[in-house]
Amino acid sequence: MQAFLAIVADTWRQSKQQWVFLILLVMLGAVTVTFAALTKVHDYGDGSDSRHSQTLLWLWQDAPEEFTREDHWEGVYSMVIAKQQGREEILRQKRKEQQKLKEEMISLSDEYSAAKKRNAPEAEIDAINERASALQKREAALVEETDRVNSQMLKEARAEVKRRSADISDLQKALEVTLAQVTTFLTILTMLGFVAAASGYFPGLIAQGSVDSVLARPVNRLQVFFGKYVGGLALISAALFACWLVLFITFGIKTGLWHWHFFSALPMTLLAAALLYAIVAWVGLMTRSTALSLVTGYFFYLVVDTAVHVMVTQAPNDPLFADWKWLVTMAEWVRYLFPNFRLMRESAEASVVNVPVFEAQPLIVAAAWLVILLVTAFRRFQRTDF
Amino acid sequence: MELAVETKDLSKTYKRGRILALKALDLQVPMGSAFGLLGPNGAGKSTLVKTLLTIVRASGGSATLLGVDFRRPEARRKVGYLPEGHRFPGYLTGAGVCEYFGRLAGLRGAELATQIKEKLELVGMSEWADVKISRYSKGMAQRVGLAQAMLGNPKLIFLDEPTDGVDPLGRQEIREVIKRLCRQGSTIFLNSHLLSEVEQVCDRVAIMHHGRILRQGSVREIIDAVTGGQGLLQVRFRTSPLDAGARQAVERHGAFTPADDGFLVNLPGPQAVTPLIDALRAARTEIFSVEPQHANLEEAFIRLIQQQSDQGVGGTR
Repeated sequence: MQAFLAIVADTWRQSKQQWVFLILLVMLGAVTVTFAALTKVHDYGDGSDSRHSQTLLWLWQDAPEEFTREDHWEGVYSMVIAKQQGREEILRQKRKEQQKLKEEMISLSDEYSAAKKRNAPEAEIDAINERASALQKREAALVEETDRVNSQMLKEARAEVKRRSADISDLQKALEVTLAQVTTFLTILTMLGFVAAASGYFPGLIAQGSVDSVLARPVNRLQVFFGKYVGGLALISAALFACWLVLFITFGIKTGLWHWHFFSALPMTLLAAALLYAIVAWVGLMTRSTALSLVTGYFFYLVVDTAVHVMVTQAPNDPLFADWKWLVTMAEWVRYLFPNFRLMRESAEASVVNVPVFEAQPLIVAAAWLVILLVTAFRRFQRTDF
Repeated sequence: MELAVETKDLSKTYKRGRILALKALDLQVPMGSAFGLLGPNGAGKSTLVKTLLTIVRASGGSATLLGVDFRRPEARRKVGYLPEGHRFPGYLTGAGVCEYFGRLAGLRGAELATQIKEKLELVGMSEWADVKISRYSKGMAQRVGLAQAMLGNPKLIFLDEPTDGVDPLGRQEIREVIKRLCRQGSTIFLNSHLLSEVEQVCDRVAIMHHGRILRQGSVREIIDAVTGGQGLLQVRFRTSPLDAGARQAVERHGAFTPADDGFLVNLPGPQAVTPLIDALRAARTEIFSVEPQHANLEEAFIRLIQQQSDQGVGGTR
């Protein structure tokens, strides 16, 4: 255990000496201070009951914007309620019907071309045109119905939110939305900065002449590997915990509301950071290259993650993708095969807003990937001759 | 005889057995000895040390360190190691390096602090203890490396090219440290291509070539074994300047090296001296003196390696 802790401590020290890490810490601090110091409680002063008397504003604002933070909260909440009520599934079904009509239209168009080519009688052509016209009408009606259903469901969801949140004050809603926003900023910053900081840990560890002295000591490779991994996560975890604590306390003092659910986003953010670190560590161990590890980390976070997110959230619903059936089928699987940092972040934000439906699936996929990456990376580390 | 290191049929192959780095190696290093491992570049010296320390995984055979199976971490509890071309983290100071490796060795608290101070002082690095490694010269880094290898007062210390990059004065100091460790009862396992250094420090040596141990024993035993018990005789002749014919005559008898007022010649034994004198006199060379020199480890080493090459004994690589 002592050897494990020595390696953790050494990696902590290594982190502290990296300018990339220091920049990351400064930026995390800046975001935390900005939100903590530049947010004020605003009193509406319009005689509303206590639940609607206060909200949160930026220091320089005299009055809330038209779309207030509590409106934002209700928007987020109602989307979740709509999802809970099966809105996405209903819309997906409607779009499938639209797609079917489109396919019929294409087939009719081919039939029309063939009829024209063989100089079919006028009556046959007219019959095809009539069928096409009927199809178009059905499609227009379906689109209209889809929009109507969508808007009706959102309206109902909104009403449901009003009912459910009748006891929740505007200040509480504004606080939850503000903390969800700060979670977003802190998560994105962490991911971008941590890739740069962490990409050199494992290539540095296994560099010739460096790992030898460590492995020659009475330690086993499991301790060395996980000591390095945990050590790499230690400083960022401590920094994020400090940010969370400062925000929790500052907003608690300012608003008198102690929103403990804010802390539920912290392990999710750390899971995302741990997963990205595992990816760069894996590449670092396989290639021994810090540069490749760094590039892969950013590529995965910025490109692969965006692509996966688009596939998972857009492809099944967007008519734009309707012509590529394989893409839609693939999108349904991708959700379960690839981790998605954006979905994880959304889960973290949702946990802060404390919505009734919690999307655990992205977290489960991420956890599975984390385990697979760490196990395969360790196996490699264990079997390598240095 | 109690052994600090013992290997039986230890082997290491790479590329699915196509490259044999260590070939069924049997080696015994007595406890408390200063053991030197010699061999040309690529002989497998560092691979052997790394295999013993599990930095490289053995492909077969067995070994013990201080009587414990070398694969178990406990075997390295009382073992120190200074790797060749080490790269300690640049963000650490000299004391930081010692603290880190001291903790890995199981030291803590006051004992760790005392040993760090003591070992850095021993290698003459106390004044630089709080300076970052990245600012050290190669020689300074080497001294700190030696200090970290001594932490925990190991009974067995592997030193891979310990004087590499160190100035002559520093080398002398490091040699003194090694001798001191020997006097204190530690077993030293020295890997070096500097044969004179090994000869000065070690009482036992092994010569390695293409992953095999060619000879092992005391320095004297090795020299005698290689030179057939006669010793490889080097003779210094002080003569008048040699003409071409005289030089050819010398070269027919042994390896010729020009020297002040004459030359040095390596002869197979004392029986070759008289014929050489006769040849020189026949070539009308004046002989002022003939002084036999003692054969040294370097000559024995070169001769042994040459013999192996002549016999075509090589590795699979």
